[in-house]
Amino acid sequence: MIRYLLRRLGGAALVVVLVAVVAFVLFELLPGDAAEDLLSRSGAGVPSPEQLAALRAELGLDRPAVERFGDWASGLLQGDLGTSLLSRRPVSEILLPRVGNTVALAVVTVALLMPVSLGLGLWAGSRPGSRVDRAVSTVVLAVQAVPPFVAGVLLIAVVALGWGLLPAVSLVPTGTSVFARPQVLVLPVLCLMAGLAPHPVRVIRARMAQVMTTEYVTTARLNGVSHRRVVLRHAAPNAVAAALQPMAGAVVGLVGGIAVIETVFAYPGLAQELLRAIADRDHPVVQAAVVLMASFGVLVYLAADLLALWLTPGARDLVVDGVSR
Amino acid sequence: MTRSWRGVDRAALVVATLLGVLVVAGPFLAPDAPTASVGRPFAAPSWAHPLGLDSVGRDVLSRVLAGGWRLVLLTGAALVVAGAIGVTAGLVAGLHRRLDGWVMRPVDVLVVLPWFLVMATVATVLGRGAPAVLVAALLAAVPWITKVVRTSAQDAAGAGYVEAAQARGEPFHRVAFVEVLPNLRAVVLADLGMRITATVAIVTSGSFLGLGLPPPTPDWALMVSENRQGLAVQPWAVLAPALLIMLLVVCVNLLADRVELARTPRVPRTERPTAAPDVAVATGALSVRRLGVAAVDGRVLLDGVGLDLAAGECVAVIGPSGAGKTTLARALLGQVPPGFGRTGTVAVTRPAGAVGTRLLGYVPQDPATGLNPALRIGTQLLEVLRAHGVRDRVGAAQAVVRALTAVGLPGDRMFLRRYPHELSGGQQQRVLIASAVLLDPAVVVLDEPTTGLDDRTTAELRAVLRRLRHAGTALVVVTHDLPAMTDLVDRVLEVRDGRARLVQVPDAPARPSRRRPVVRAGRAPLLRVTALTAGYGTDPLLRDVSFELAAGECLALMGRSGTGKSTLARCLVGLHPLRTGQVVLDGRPLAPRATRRSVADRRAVQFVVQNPRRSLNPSRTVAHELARPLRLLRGSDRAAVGRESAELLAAVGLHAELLTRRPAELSGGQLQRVAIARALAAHPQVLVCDEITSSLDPDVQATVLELLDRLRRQRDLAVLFISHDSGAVARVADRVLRLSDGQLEPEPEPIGGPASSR
Repeated sequence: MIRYLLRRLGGAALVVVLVAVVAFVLFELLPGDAAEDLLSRSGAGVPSPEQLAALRAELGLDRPAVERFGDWASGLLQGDLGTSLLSRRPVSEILLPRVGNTVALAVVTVALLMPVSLGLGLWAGSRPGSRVDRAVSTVVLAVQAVPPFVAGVLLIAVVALGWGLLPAVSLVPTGTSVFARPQVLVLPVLCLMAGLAPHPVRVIRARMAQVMTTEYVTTARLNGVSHRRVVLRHAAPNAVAAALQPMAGAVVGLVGGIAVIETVFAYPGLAQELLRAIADRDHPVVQAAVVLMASFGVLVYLAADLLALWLTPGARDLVVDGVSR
Repeated sequence: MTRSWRGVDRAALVVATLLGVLVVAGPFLAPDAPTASVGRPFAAPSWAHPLGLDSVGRDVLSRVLAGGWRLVLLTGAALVVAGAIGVTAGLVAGLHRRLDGWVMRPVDVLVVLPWFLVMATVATVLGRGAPAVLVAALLAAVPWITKVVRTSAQDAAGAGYVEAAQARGEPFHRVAFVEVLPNLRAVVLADLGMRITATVAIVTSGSFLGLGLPPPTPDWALMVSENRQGLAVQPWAVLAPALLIMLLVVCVNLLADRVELARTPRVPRTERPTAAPDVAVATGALSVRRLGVAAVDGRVLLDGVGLDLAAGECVAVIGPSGAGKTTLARALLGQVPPGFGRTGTVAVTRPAGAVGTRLLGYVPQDPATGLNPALRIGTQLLEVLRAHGVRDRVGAAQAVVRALTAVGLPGDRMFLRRYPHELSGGQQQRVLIASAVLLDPAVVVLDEPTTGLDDRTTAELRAVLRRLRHAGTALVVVTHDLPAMTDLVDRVLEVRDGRARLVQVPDAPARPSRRRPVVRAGRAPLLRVTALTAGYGTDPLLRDVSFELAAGECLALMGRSGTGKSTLARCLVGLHPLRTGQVVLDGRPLAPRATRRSVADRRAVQFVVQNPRRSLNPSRTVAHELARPLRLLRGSDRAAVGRESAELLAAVGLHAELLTRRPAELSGGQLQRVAIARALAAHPQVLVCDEITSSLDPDVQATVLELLDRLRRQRDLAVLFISHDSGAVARVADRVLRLSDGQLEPEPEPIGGPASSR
């Protein structure tokens, strides 16, 4: 088991390193470098070669790429995310003040997402073809189709502007906590759920419907076990393991979803800074964000895989034996 | 499907068509130039501008009309390109074991990365614009399509029609795109809805976030983003494009989903059987009167079945497959297929003095799928007790141990804590019987209990059933193998076309008479296998296997399942690599891989596999199936192919009109004969038959065996007949080899007596 765990963690680390290298190489291939960028953006006209050389030496850009990558990577490991090209401030200084708000939004969403999608999927799948199933499936299908920003705009138009119930923009004054005004979270969380829950609901429903037709469920019924008990004790454990992968997908999908939703509701999270950096091609900021996003994705999927393994006895033995042998 | 549901579909189709017209014709209908400012920003709707003006005073209607095609084009392009890459990569990964890792490792990396990461990177490198969005959408879609296609391709890789194509030396691209690809349509279509949704979401979100098309391009997502701050003043500038995006995706999604929804099975309902008053039949345990299963529309599965069974009696239910045996078994327990209803009465009486309250127990056909993989053995048994109201923990534990002991299993804690996958097939079956006999039900119904069990396990099962009978339990056994059960059975109920009648119990196990071997002494061996070792992973499955086979001889290979019989067959036809050893045909060694063998060698050794349904390509006609080996291995021209195909069908006793049919339109026996005809098409010297009769009904089995026997006499074919059915082996084989634990047992006397040599 330990060896399997170490191997998976090693694999996860390798993916993050790979992403970091690819991002570094891609940004390295961009025409122009930080020195040219800085000088042209300072608006002083076409910079002279001497100015460029001086700035390059100052920024360390005259050293070979491998060396710079090493510096950047070792800085990353020590928590130094690099320096913004534009503002010359450390990236962590730009991103940190806003992390709290984004994390709050993400945590609330995930805490609601899991029970809601699990419950709906199991409920609909336990009687495939029934009225409940058709209702849930149709609604989920329609909701899934709506891109989150469209849902957000429509909700603002109806709920906030039409009925005047909730704030249309989710402003959080600097230095205060989101939870001081929890109403600003309602619409953003709702939109995120609408975008992320449908896929896991559908996968869980499909898996549950399949489990309900298996021989062992039929046998349990024919041997007298009640419908309720069959669903909760016999079928559900077999359906939940299959649900973890799409659930992890939904959690990872938060990364993009939050970027969209923060923009829709003018919520002061990481997205605005990141989008500005992308538009300005401020690569140190993007590069740091890319590595963080990759680590997040890799860790979420790893956790889901391990949880699924823990829930499926057959697969667990196969994997653990296969490695320890 | 209900009528209202169809209504939703039709509405979706209409709206989707209208949207299509709007997207295509829109740019030509726009009243104003979509990028020209014609008035005050956020002016309200008027006659001239029905949807008002936007943030810089451009006509919203014109921009909406002009802005749809880019979204549709971008999404369509992303999907088509992603589909082409994903399907190819998936086929390569699924069918080519050595390339699998190379394809799947990058796929696994891409899958765990958020799409936003990819888009952020691409947009930073390429700058904002359509290419950035396209690349991000592609990178998000390709891995998922690859995964879906790979899974199905791997499944197809084991099918007979793919193996046959590989064994006759078809190049990889033909196997992948001609044989496998047409069968993936359903899988790819089912995934399509999800892919469209995800791709539209990425393309529009990219535009909305300002990473896609640059302003002032008219684009629905960009319009939503640009006019957001005016939502309170002029909502139509935002709502019109937002609603259009929503409508477009919802419609496409509903339509794509029809494919998937139509395939979901419905779960049958179970009624509990009624307990009859004790006076019904004084000694009877089970009394069935006029039992019928019929649908509302008049379809009848079962009609007027009557049966009386005393305590300790056993009735066997026999009949051809599809006649209603399993329907009868389940109807006894109160379960009918979805859409059907049950008529008549089933009364179960418990013998006087019985302790428990349980009436019926059920043992399903396949032990591997009958036990819940997520529950421990102990839990599964306790669940049955719980369902019958046993709440006393100590009593329940004792009952579980008693039931396990009754079927010859240990009742200790270690065993109770095991999961089903940690048991052997025979043990799994006995656990299922134990859970059926808990609380001493009056009647136990068993569905095909001997299927898939070897002789030794079947004998153990018979002993368990005999003990149950002595204890007073009435048994209903559905079986296709009556001889194996004869000594247990009091009565035989034959089901045919939904009607049941009692028939004579055969006296003794009906074993087919032994036939005389046809091989003449002193003939040189045609095929010689020497010291063959092969397997999967590190453990060799087959060790040091050697035997010889002469022309015109039928050699049977028997053994328990999992001993490597099929692997040996695959080694002979060049589908499985040998680790050591040699296969020699007519004095020349055969290359281990079919693709390395000469055409003559590929022709000489042909292969027929077990499952007739998977043996032929579901999406190809019989004519195609026969034409490929004729062309590839014999070089026949078009006219010759047509003539020879008809002759081949005639040789296996089928009519030439079957040539235009597809496998779904043929019966199991017909399919297996077509598979034999396909093998004969190559004019082989050796025919390897892997369990070709085991999934056929007894009467169909007999005709296939007869055919095999006739062919080898007529054509002097050497046949390697792999089977676990001793009846079938006795009918066709000259000699029998037994394989156990990957090694051949020393050869006993030839069946036909000392006169014949090998």
